Amino acid sequence: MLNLFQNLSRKIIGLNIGADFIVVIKARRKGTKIYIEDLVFRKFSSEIALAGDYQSRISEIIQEAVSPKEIKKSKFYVLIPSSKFCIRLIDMPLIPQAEIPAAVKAKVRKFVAPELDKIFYSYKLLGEFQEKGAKKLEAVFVAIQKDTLQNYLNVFNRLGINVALLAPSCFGLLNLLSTANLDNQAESRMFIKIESRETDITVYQGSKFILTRNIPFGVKNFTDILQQQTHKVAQTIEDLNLAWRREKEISEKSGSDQQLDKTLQLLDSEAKILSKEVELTINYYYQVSHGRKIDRCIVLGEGSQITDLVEILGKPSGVVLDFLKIPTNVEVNKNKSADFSRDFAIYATAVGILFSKKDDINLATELVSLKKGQFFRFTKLNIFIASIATLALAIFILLKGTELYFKNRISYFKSQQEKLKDKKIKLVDIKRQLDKLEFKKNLYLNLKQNIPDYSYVLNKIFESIAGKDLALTSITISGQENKEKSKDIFEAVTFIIEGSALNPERSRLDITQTVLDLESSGIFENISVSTKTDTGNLNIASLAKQSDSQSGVLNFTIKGNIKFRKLP
Amino acid sequence: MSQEKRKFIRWSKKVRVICSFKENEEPFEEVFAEDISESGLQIVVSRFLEKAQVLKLKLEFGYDSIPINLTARVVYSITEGEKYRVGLEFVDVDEFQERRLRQCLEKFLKEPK
Repeated sequence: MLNLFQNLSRKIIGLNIGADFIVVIKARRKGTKIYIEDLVFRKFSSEIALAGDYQSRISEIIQEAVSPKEIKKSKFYVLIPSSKFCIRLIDMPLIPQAEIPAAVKAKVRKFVAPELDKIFYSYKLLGEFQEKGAKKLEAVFVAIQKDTLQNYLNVFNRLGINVALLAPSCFGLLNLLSTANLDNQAESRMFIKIESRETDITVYQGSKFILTRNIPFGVKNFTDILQQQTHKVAQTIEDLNLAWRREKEISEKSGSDQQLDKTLQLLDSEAKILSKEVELTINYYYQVSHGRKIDRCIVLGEGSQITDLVEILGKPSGVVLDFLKIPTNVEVNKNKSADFSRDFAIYATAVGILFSKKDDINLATELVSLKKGQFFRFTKLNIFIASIATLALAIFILLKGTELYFKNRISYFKSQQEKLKDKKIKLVDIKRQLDKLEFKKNLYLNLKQNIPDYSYVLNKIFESIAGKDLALTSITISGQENKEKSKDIFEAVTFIIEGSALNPERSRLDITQTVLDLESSGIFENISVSTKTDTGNLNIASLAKQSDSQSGVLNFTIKGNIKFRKLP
Repeated sequence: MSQEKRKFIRWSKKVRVICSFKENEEPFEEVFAEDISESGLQIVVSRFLEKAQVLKLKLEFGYDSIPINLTARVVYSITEGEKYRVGLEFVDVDEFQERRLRQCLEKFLKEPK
C-alpha cells in the first residue's frame, strides 16, 4: 500500500500551528483516501509563545520535523489558530451571482471592521435556504489581519515552504466531518478543543460550519491551581489526572481536610467555568437554529485526556459526550499507528485539512498577493500617498533639471567667454608680432634697396640696442652707388635711428650706451645723437651729464655714416 | 513589538456593539466601540441618548461568535458634529458575564494600540 501511494501521489504535509504546539502530518492522498507516513506532535512552553520567540520556535520545530528535501518536494496544508480569525456564518437575499462579492464585502465591513484594506477575507457559499417564505443565500466568511498573516508568511518564506492551503484550524475538523463516513451526516456536533491556554468551541450542523468561539482558558488553568495549592508541578496530563484523582481519594478517605477540599473546589470550579461556556454555546445554538439541539459533543486536544474535566463538562450540558473516531478513509504507517490511535484527538485537525477541496476557504492565494505586495499595497490611502509622492518627485526632478540646465548653460557661456578672452589676447599678441614683422620687413626692404649688406648693418644696429629699454620707431639708411668706381661701392651712406627711451630712470644712460656700442662696432662713424624732452634738445656730451632722475619721455635720434665696404 | 502582543488577534480592539432599548428588540445602532473597559465603554451614535437612560448591549469580539449581553446606563452624551459621543456604564453584571468580559478585555489590552 505504501509503495502504491508513493508511486501515485505527491507528498502532502498537514501543519497545525497552535498557540503553543505544532502538529505535523506527512501523508499521501489518493482520491478520498489519505495514507499517513509520519506524524509529529511538539509542544513548546506557553511562556515561549508569550516571550517573543513564537516565530523562531515554530521555524525550529518545522525544521526538526521536516527535512529540507521534504520541504522542497511537498505541498503544505496549513492551519493556524481560529482565534486569529473572525469567522461568521452570514446570510443574504437570493441575489445574482455577480452581486454576491459586494454583498459579502458589506457583511465583512459590518462584522469585522470598516477598514477593509487592513484585512484579508475569503468566503464560501453554502447554498440556499428558506426563511419566512423568502429564499436566501448562506455563506461563511473568514477574515484575518494582514499583519497577523504576515507573521506566518515570514516563517514560511524563511523555510521555503510551498503553502497550498491556509485556513483557520476549525476548518480542519470541518473537512474531516465532510469526508469521514459518519453515521449520521445531519446531526449537530460541538467540538471542544482544549489546549494549554485556549479552548476552541466550534459547532457544525452536519458538515456545515455554524459558529466558533475562542476562550482564553485551558489545561494550564488546572495545573496552575495544583501548583499554587499543593506545590506539585504537573508536567503532563497524566500527572494532572493523578494529582486530581489523588486529591479526591485522600479527601474522601480523610473526610474533612480543608486544604484538599479547597484544591478540589478550585479545580472543580475552573472546570465548571468551561462547562458554563459549553452550556452557553448550546443555548445560543438553540436560539439561532430555531430550536435545534446539539446531538453530540466531542472533546479534543490535550484537555480531552483530563478525565475529571470531561466528566464535569458532560454533567450539566446533557449532551452525549463523545470522542472522535478515526475515519475509515485514513490509513497509517504501522510504526505510527499506535501513537495515532492513542492521540487522535490531537492529530485529528491536521489530518482533516488534508481532505480539503478546491472550493474550500483558502487564504494561501492571499499569501501570494501579500508576498508580492508586502512593500506596497494598493489601498486608497497608499495610492493617494504614492500619487502625492510621485507628483512631488516630478516637481523636484523638473526643478532640479531646470536648475541643472541653467547651471550648464552658464558654465558653457563662461567657458566660451574665457576662450574668447584667450583668443582676443592671442589676437593682440599676433597683431603685435605682425606689426614687428611688418616693421622688420619694411626695414629689410628699405635696406635691401639701398645696400647689399643691409643684414649685417641691421644686425649691428640691433646688437647695439640689445639689453636697453629703447623702442625704435624708424631706421633709415640711405646711400648712393658709386657707379664710376665699382658697382659695389657706395658713397655717403648715412643712417638715422629714431626711437624713444622706455625707462625714464635710465633713459639717458641707455641712449649713451647705444651710441658707444654703435661706435665700437666699427662700421659706424660720425655718430651724433639728439634727444627731445620737455627741457629741450641735448647733444651727446650733455646727455651723459644729465641726471637720470629727470622726468619726461625722451625721444632720441641717432645719426651717422656707415663705413661701407663689401664684407667678406 | 513583542510576541505577547502578537499572540492575540487585533480586531479584539474592534468590539462591535449592538444597542437596543429592550431585550429582543430591534437594535437602533450597530457600531464599533471607541474605548472599552471592565466598567463601561464609549460609542459614537447617530441619535441623542439621555443621561441615565438604560440600554441593552451585545458586545461582539471577532474571535467569539457569541456576544456578551450586558445592560448599560448612559453617563454622558456629547454632541459631535451630527453625531453623539456617548459614555456608558455597565450595570447588573453577573459573575459569568464579568469573567467573559474580563477575559475578552485581557486580550484587548494585550493588543498593540
